[in-house]
Amino acid sequence: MKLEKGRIGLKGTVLIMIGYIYGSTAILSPGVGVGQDAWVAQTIGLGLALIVVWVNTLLLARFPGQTFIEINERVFGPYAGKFISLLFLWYIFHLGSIVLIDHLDFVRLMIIPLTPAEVVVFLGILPCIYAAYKGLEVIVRTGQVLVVFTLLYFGLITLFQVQSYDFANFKPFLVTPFPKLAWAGLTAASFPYLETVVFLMILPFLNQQNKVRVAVYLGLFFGGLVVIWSIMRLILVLGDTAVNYVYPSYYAVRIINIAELLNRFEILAAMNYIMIGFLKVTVLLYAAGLGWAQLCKCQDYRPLLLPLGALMALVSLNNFEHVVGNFEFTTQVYSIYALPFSAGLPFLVLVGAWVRGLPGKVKNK
Amino acid sequence: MNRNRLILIFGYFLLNLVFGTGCWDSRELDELAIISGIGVDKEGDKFNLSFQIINPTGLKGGEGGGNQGSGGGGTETFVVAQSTGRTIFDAVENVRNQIERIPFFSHNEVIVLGRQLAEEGIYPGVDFFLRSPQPRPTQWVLIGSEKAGDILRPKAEMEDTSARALKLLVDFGRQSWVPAINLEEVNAAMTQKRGAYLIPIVRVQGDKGKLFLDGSAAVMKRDKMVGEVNPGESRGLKWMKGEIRNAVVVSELPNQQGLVSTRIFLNRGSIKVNLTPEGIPRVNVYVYVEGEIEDMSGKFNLTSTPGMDLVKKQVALAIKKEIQSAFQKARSLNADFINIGRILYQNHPQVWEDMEHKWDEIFPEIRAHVTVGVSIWRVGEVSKPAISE
Amino acid sequence: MFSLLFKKLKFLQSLISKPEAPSSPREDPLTGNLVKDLAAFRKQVGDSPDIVVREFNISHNISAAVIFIDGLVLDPLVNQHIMHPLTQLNEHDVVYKKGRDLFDSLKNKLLPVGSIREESSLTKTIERVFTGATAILIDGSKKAILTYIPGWERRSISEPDSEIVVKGPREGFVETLRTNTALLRRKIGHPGLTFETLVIGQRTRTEVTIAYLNGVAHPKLVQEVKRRLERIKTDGILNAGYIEQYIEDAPFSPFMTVGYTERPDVAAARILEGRVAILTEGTPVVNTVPFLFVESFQSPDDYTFRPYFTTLTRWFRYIAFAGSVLSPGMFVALTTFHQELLPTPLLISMAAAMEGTPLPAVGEALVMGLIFEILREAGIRLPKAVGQAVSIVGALVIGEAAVQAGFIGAPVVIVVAFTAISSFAVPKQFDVGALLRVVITILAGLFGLYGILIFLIITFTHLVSLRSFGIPYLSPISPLMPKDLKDVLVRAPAWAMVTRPESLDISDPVRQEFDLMPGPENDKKNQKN
Repeated sequence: MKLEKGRIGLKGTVLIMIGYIYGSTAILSPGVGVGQDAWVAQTIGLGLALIVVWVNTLLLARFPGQTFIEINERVFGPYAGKFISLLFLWYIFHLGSIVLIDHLDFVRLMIIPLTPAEVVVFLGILPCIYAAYKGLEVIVRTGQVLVVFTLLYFGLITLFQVQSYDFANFKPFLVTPFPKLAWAGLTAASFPYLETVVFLMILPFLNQQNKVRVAVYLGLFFGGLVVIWSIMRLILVLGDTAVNYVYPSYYAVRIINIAELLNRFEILAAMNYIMIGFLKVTVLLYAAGLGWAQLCKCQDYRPLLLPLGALMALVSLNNFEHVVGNFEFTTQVYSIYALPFSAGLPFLVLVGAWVRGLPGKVKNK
Repeated sequence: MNRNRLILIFGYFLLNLVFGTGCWDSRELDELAIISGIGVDKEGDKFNLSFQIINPTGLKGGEGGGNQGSGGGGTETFVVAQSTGRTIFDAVENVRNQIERIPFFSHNEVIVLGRQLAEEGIYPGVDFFLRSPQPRPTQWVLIGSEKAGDILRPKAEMEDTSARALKLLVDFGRQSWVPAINLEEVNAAMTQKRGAYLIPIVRVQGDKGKLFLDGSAAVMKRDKMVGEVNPGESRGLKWMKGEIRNAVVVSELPNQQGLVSTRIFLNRGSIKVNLTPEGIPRVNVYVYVEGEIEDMSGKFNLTSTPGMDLVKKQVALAIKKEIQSAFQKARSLNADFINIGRILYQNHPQVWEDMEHKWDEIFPEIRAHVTVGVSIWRVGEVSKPAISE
Repeated sequence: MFSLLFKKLKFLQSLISKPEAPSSPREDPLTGNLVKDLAAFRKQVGDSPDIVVREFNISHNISAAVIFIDGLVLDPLVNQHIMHPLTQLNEHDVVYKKGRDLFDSLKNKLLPVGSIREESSLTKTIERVFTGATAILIDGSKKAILTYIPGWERRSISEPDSEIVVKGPREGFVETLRTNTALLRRKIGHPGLTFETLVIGQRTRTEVTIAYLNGVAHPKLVQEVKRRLERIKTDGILNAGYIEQYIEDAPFSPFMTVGYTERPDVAAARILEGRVAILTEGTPVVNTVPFLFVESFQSPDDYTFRPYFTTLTRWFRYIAFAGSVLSPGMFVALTTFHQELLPTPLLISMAAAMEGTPLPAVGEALVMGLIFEILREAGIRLPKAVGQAVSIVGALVIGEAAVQAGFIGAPVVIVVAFTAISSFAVPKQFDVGALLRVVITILAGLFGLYGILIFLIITFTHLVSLRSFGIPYLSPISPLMPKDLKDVLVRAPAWAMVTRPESLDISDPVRQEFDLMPGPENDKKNQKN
């Protein structure tokens, strides 16, 4: 029986992919370590990711309408398949908890510093559980409006920051040594672009299955553009001091002050970060819930959401010792840690399917 | 049944979460000490902080006529509290021993750094304000001519607080003389290893303690003050950056024909660094200004094109002089507040790599070529002075 | 929480022995014997003074009876058109046979009444008599003749109190179903306008009519409306509001998913868009389904004024709704959590105004909000003359004096006043606004903007998940229907609204021809050449 009856449209899927990719980069602004060449690193990362997700699209084209968990089981049988699915689910779950703490750390540092972390996190996971409970269609329809808001906010801030743009900040162009740049590019490919591997759980519900590839590429490309532009904006406004701040993009919004009248926009930034974080965590939570339900052959994925969400909140609280640990992990460890999951697993499954010649079976059915 | 119990338990915890605990971050308006100005001084190895705190009850009565109505009641519109501590935050905590409210920094308008601190290094004095989420990065940073605490004590005559008055002075002055710099820009400037920057100096004048901000500024290298520039020199820098919005240039006409004042309302500037074949950097400065003639003391006849050309030439000369004086001061202090090093790095990164470590020797040798273009369209309502022949 | 309550109720119901089911209309044919039939009739209906049973003879030997309810029929007309022809019959006019022939000739020739009907069941006859029919029973005939000369006191058509317009028609629906259907017929002349009637309420026997435009409304929608109406098994429907609660999609949601209007032009416009109207006897309010969230922000006047102006007013309504929901919460969040977001001069003057007030800001906002709600409630239910006194006391005593005495800060009064005014700008979502406002204010007092935002996200998700008769509640916005935004973000001119709302999923999407932009004739010709 089908656990998810909803069907999602192309536009909505592309929009939530954009939001998903922009998600934590909105706060963390990865790659500012390479200074004015950060945007080049992001572009390299996007290019790499565009090549790697080819695997995902091939996989989805071979098994139309089936999620990654179902594909695993088909390809590797009940035991090995379940093992791979478990790895995948762990990744999604852990990623969700990391995203959750990234966003809520921001809330705690900047908005309500004295409120206990537990309260902030549990309050933050509530709307995610609720939206995931309402199903995929609701997630996409809610998400797409939030993403449109985000893009509007983005345009507004871009406009307001124009007066503090300093195009000399881009110079000198490409002085970062190549190995460092390549490393930064690889990091960028892993975070945020390849995190879209979770869409292997969502794209099977696209209402036009022949458009899966279009959705993946449009979403990734435009999401990448948004991220690259946000990094460029950061360089334009803050220059090489961006690396001095914990939340550079938030700081770049705080210094907007046009004619003593248009200022204090950080409220918009903070709201935007929370909204976009909600979207990302919801997608991950939903995928985790659906995945577990399919793995365990449950009748319904929804009862799993509350415990999964609560667990995610707990894990997110205990992921790191302190905020510095979080940044260390995100900038140095995460990319390597994530790559086997986000690029390796789909590749492995695709190879498995190819060796066993499985698409033929689909036709027989 | 089981599911219901689960929901009940969850709901119970949720209710506990919401109502059983409380509102940790909530601060009523009348619990806050809204700080409008901070002075940071260094005394020995301790920091001395002066807070200018807005007193809402003092503002409550005389809403119409500003704060001058306080003669009867005697309530002040602001109070100044002082405290000392080994670090800034230590001092902030100590001030809570004297004031009964929570210090609140988000509406701080200016940070005044004492001269002593500026000479010893300002970073320890501003780190708290950069790190804490409360203070805004766009507040102005000034350097007090002596003690920062003395700057904040005098009353403002027309504003509620003198910090507010000081902020308005900077807002106005930055159109011409004052090289205003805010907290975020100070932080950005401090990251420049070889560069320098200016922070305006504020003085107190007269017995009544009138604040005075004329454009003289402290020259800072990293976070230490290395010298002082006069208003003309700091405006020379602003011409080059194209930051002038509303300034008056008084220029002398040849042959004792008197003075002419031109108001400049548009200014573009660019600094180009080229390399001579020998590999020595040479600076070319291009400045373009637009203005109008506001007053003329002589009987010079402005009804001809050669006449206008002459005025334009004199204006250009005056501006060029200010720019050259800025270069002169930079060279004599060996402080690159024009940021030539950075421009060199941006355009010739390899050259910069070689020069960076001996920049202190190279910089005093750098010569600048200044080109000033002037456009004057309006001459006001008088075409021919009444006393001209 | 509600579902828990609901389950508890179900459980309780199972404990209580099932209540006696109301007597079901059992088939009970007329015998043809007048004495017997009348006895059976009296046995069923008792002996109420308003039931008139007039027995008489047609010619000499055929006894007959006319039954009607006094007050539901127009007495003079009954006398003139029924009693008169029947009692004045001469012997040679009547075929001297009892039964069928007499019956037919009566029905076909003798009764000068328009609306006439046969009925062979006693129960049905009684049912009709009790809803305003006049029954004629003839000895020897196994059928009764039912004529309709309704004549109860009814309110004349007047301008509705709510939904007042400046430029539009002034008529409103009344309590009489037949008048209301006539009003709709007069608006829509096309024969496609179809009425279907159901009787709902085992004791009230309320007539409920659904109206839709055949060929425009989706057949599935009509089917679904009928299915939901037929499901209703209750003893009484007194009001269109009862119907709403039985047929809505999300019974536990604070948002209404069934629309209502008091104006025939609005109802007609909705029917033209492909919606289904539900008219209930006894209520001057007509329900329309499906109801979308954006409809709350539309007013009939929007379509009579210039498009630019109405676009502007529509945006004012959006802002007013946001203001009515958010402003007390935002006020609390900004003054107690995020003071850095207020401009400095504003913060200082607010601090001066709120200096020394005893309550925390959230308490002040809640108390003033409560006072406002009480004032409003008192003002609505009281006679108009007293209502003014209430508003004077409210405004002067509570507003002015509380600030003067220093109990309440002046900013709170301003915020609450703004909230009140904004909440009146969108009357359709008034109730939800009041509810959300309180929750948001409390959350703002606990968690500041973070609490508000979390709650708004949940509310928004809820709104997205709602459906009204299969149509997503937030329809033209999410899922996005770019074509429908012509009546949401802006109000396009009438000639530009070529299509009916796409979000309603209707059979015939094209409303009018494309090339309707007005302009001088010459220009048009030039364009074509």
